[in-house]
Amino acid sequence: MIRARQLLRLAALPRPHARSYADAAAGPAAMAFTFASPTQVFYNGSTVKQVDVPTLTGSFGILASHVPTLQVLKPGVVTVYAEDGTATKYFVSSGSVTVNADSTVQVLAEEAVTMDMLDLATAKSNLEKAVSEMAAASDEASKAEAQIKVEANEALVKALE
Amino acid sequence: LRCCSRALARPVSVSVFSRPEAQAVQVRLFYVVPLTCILCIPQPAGVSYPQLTRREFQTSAVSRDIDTAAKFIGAGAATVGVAGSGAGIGTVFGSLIIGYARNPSLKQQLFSYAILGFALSEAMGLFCLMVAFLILFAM
Repeated sequence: MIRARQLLRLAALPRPHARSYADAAAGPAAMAFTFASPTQVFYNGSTVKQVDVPTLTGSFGILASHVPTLQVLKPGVVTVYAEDGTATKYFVSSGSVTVNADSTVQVLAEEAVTMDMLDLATAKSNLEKAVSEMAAASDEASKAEAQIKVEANEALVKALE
Repeated sequence: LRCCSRALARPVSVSVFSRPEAQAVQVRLFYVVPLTCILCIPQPAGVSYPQLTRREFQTSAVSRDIDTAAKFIGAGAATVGVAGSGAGIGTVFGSLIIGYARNPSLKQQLFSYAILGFALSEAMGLFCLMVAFLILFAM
């Protein structure tokens, strides 16, 4: 009952940025893409065709005029498709994605490396170490840390295979 | 009014041939089915039936009786189930569109799942249609 009234109140508020599926996309037709980690800048306002990002709510692709959104990155592969169609992959550990209404996209990663800096064998051995660490963890904090390691290494192995 | 039935089909003439070389008797029976029943033609009350009544030609070969009518109705009712298949296929491809809009890189994978879902949903609709044809032709 109370929830229904709250929903009605929300629906009555003016929402200028809400857009339904049938409306045409507004904003510039080109995406200004910025992709950086604290130590390195990969793209700075460059025009790319599509960016695939791995987030906590799933992997999705960003094209120009994407719906504005804020997402948190998960360990995984960011794929950047340039204007000519070539795809470049980067592995990110975590971070955030911001898509603005004017088609600017900022991917700020905690750690980001190109795929050639990674080694599959090392990743697999790290994964085994992390799994054994999680099994041996005693208290909740170390168990959570070990789980983070396991997830990151699983993503690394999946990215490299 | 009692209308004609197949029981009125009766052998009208029997002819027997005997050939000296065949040593067998061939019997041919001619059956005449009264295609239109004289009794079915409505006559005004109090009038005796004349000897020769107007006959009409039967132009269709199949006799439409209550059995066939039931089959038609049953087949029509059974075909309604194909609507479920239509709803399912619409859902599958609508979800494909939404999924592709979210992650365009998975186009191939999403499309193959969509085709799988379409095939299964279509199979259900075809089962329904199969029952309709079963009723119409086989029962």
